[in-house]
Amino acid sequence: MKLTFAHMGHLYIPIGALFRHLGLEVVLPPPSSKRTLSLGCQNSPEFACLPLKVNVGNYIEAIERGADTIVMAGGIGPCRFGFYGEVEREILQGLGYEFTMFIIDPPQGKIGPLLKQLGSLVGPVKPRDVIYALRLCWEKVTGIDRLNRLAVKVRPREVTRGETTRTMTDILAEVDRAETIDATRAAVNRGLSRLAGIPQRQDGPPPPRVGLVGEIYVVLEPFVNLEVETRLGELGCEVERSIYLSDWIRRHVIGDIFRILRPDPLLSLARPYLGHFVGGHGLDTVAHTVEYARRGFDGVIQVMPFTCMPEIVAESILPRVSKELGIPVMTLVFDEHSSDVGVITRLEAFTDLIMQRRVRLGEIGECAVTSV
Amino acid sequence: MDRLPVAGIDVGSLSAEAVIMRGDEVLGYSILPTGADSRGAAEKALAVALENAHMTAGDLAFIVATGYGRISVPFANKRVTEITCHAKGAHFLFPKTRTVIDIGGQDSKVIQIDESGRVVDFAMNDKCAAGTGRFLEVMARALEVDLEAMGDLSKKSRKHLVISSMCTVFAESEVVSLIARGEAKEDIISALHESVAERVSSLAQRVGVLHQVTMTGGVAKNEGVVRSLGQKLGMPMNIPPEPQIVGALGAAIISRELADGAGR
Ligand SMILES: Nc1ncnc2c1ncn2[C@@H]1O[C@H](COP(=O)(O)OP(=O)(O)O)[C@@H](O)[C@H]1O
Ligand code: SF4
Repeated sequence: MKLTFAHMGHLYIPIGALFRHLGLEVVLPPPSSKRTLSLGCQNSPEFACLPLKVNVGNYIEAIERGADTIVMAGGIGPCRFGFYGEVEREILQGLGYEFTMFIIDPPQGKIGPLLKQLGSLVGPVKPRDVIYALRLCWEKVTGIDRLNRLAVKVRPREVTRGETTRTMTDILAEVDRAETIDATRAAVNRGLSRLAGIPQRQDGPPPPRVGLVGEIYVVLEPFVNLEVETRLGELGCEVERSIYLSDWIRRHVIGDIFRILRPDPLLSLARPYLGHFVGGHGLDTVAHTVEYARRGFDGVIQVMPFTCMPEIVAESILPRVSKELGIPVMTLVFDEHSSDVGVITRLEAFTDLIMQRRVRLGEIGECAVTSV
Repeated sequence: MDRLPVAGIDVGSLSAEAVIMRGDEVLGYSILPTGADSRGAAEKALAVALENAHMTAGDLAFIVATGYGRISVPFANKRVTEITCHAKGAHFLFPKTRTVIDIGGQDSKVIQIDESGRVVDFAMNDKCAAGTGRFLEVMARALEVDLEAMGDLSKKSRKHLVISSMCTVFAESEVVSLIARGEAKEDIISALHESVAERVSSLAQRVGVLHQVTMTGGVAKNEGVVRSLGQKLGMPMNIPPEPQIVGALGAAIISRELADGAGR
């Protein structure tokens, strides 16, 4: 059995490690590329969500590399994500590929079925090995998030543009190679000190802070969001993502298994604007925008795939949040035709806008425009 | 100080412009087609503007490039987004401007600015040709009329027609069937102007339209669109004498600021 799964940001590092440690052979799809996108688009229904199209492209390219088993997560709620697995299975079968597909459903309070599903995928393994594999996976998830949170602080202050991003690529490769928990910890710690050692400018006002909210896949996948996080960082903004994988897992997977359904404090922030679940991350998008405004951020950027219903609902509410709480918000919609020229223009203009707003608010003195 | 001449260059999808400034004075400018070679177009636009200003490149203290092709201007000292540049340029020409509407060849933008010319909000359409100059070019070709003549022709319109499709491809076939039905060209053109104005005014509603409105970009040369848009927005608009150079003008103004900042 050669197992594969779709890309989503750096997810391949912890998930790859998990399966390898359960004794499975993993065949990763090559990094998402224009080819992935065009394969996915050619073979998916035109009105399917962009994440689905890229997933299909990933699977085709993985099968070309010899993968024969696909694992993906099922979903819940009114959002179309719940049907992704079935639709993708049908598309790939229609293309004549031979493979087995495992759709892992969220536990929703019952861990039994989940374990059974995993058991049939993995076969007999010692519980001790399962625990080690899960711990290793978690170590990588949290490690990568810690590295990322530091990188977004260093990037806008770096003296040599691009150095943070180059260093991160290096560090992540090292974290990926680490085979044990200890080695992972060491790689992460080394990475943290390498990032901290990047020469940073000390003078001038602190960089503007920008929150990145929106649909999870687009937030986490730089190939699809056209590197919005890196670009904003290199324009001098400190970016905070609303979604880090470790938080997401804590909230949705662990919370779900143990049914810790405490009312989410964040979502109550959204209540004045949006009182009910709208599928996907629509509610989170509104809640996080409110949160960033309260924390004094300089701006918020919402990213979403074209035709994404939950985010469209959120998008229609954000102007009110923006006006009432006085925080600039910009929405970027991505589809297979998105060009980096258009995105760069918007990001540069948005950065100018928030810098000039700081001047107006008297937070900083007159400053030059954003230029490259 | 700001007595040294500086330049702004705007490399758009269709036209490249350059403006040479010293202090508050525009010494020379140029408007040329961009063509396939945007770097070449930028060089040529600058050369022509310099010639008009009776100067050489060596006289320039600073160069800022803007526009879609700004990355392909290696000899610029800085590159700045066209949104910031149009805001600066429109503010310079009409200091009471609060809304800038820029309709160029392949995109349209609505920019809200404050009393100092700073960008407060903006919206941009670059996904589809509707509401851009490109839309009008396609239609001019279908109608076999000159792009430049459209504004004048539409003044003769007597009958109100409606083009219902926003999408360029469908709108073009609508135009073809209107021609086949024997409708007058001037009426069709007037309907096309309405369509562009409709699209742009809905973009404008997203950021809000504040008095005064200044229109920039090549489509501002089309009186038909200017008239329709003014009606839709319910207010007159400032039209610069050369609407296409406003981006380059803004870039030149930023050049001046940056040259000063650089301690010259
Ligand atoms: N003399 C003119 N009369 C009417 N429309 C014009 C004229 N010149 C240019 N245009 C319009 O302006 C558009 C180009 O605008 P421009 O601002 O030069 O584009 P870009 O900035 O993308 O290069 C053309 O598509 C055309 O519709
Ligand atoms: S959240 Fe958006 S992109 Fe994801 S499945 Fe739902 S509609 Fe599609």
